[in-house]
Amino acid sequence: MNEPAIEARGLTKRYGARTAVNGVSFSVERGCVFGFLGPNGSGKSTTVKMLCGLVTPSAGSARIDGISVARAPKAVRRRIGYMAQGFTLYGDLTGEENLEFYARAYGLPRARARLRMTEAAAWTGVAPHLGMRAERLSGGWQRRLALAAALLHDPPVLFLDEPTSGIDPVARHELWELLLRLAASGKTVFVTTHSMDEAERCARLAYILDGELLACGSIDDLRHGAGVERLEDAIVALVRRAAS
Amino acid sequence: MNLAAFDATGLAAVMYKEVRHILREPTTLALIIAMPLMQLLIYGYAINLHVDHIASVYYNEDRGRAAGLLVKVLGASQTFHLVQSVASREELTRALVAGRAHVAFDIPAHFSTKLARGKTVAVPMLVDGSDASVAQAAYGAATRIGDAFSQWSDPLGESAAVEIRPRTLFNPSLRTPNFLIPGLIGLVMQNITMVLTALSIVNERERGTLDQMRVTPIGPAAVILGKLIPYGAVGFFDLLLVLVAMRFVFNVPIAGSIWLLLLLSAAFLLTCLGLGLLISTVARSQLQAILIAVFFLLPSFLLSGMFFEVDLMPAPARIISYALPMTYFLEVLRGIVIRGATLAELWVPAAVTVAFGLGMLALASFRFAARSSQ
Repeated sequence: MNEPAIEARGLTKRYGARTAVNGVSFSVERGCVFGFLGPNGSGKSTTVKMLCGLVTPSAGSARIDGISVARAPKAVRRRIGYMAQGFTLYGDLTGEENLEFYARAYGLPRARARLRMTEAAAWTGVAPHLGMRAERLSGGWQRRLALAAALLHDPPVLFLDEPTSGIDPVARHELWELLLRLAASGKTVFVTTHSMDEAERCARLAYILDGELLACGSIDDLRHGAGVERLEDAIVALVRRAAS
Repeated sequence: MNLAAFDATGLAAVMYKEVRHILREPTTLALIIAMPLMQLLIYGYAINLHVDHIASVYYNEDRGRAAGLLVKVLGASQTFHLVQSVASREELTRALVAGRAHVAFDIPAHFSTKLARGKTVAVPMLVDGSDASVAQAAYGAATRIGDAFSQWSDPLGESAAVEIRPRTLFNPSLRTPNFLIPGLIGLVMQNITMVLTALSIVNERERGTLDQMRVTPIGPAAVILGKLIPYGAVGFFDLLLVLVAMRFVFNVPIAGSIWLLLLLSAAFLLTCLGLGLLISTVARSQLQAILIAVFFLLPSFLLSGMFFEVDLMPAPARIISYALPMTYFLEVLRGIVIRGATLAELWVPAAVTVAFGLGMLALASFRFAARSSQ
């Protein structure tokens, strides 16, 4: 069990002449919150989609728990939970119906499905709102519902693409509490963000710009590497060095 | 909003961005140009309301000189287009049931000798009454040709006359609903199923719920079938709805086998579902999906033979007609409902309908799977 939870080797995605992601390699150990930073359009979402098997890489490979995404996509899907950018559950279904669908999608047996739905709803706090149509929920509750759906099959690895964009500060704070608790319970949490204060809560960070991975390591690694005190300054230094 | 407070700057601003929206989407832009052109071509060029060149067959039992002359006169007329000389009386009916011809002439034995003896000879004409305008054109022309031939054949015998006697085989009361409603079955099925399928998939892609579903262990085949089966059921329900209304509200009897009708409708449903899936792989938004669907529905409506005979269209329009799944399904529908045709007579359009269904579904599924992971 010494395999890293997530491993990217030379991941590349080209769309025609444009290279969205160029030779990105990194690995994420189990049980940590891994922050994937970068401005909008830098290739964060494309990288996440390649790691989840939603987008086929032009070159390179990805492994989850040592299993090749390209070769055993079904086995990988049972090990990952994924929360896309924005709200991607069904707005016209109730929270309960959405959870029901995902429990069925993972083929959970009836009794286990009921149990997991109750547990996930209680754990994320969304239980009192399950009867409402999902589109009527506030952004914060929608995210928690999506997190509950992503946790139903108890995956060891979670991918969250900009989970806090567009939600209020309190909801954001509470969502991060949940993410940290997940990591503490041994799950690997891969989060993309462009917020510095969220980045500071991650055990390890990677920074991507125009499809190139500029740095990867702990916050201290990044600060010491740049010889500065603050993470933000370290990133500014990284970007300037890449530009020159 | 206070409509009285009009400001020109605001108007210019809104118009500026609206023009940009229109110019930005190449597919929409292409449709804006192609749609009126296609309608213009269809209405201006392909549709011919004047009925002539009705496909006709004849049986010449007499084989005499006068009979040969009558065949020539019929063939030379604008109204009839003699497509085949058949070998027996039974063949005449069969040609009509199969839809190969709409009119059949039966020139009896001793036709020429009776005329020579100055008698009046009746020539039975079987008419397919499905399309009232075709049938009426046939009646009119037959009377005219009979009269003209009688004058003409004078040298053969004093007071000799030919009387072409029409007998209408199907839809003898020439009711329009009997002609149009069977065709409507196909249109309703195609419209509802194709649009609903395309919209539901494009909607999921737009909202990102499709990707969210694709990270689960659900395979692409399950996604496709899980989508298509419920919408297929909706299409089948609509089929039954129109069938019941046709039979009991509009009193159109179903002359042939209802089971064959349902079976081939199911095959056509595959085409509709496949088309919906195919549109979803091309359209980038729900609006585009609707525009593409309308773009496809228009020829299905006007060029399939629903209102206007395919045989009478100019060659380019006929090529489009023969490329449309609706054209074949319409033949099946009218064949079974109006003429009581069986699979033996309808096997060509039936086979094409099934082939379209399977082919379209395979092509669309392939494209859907290929497009998913780009």
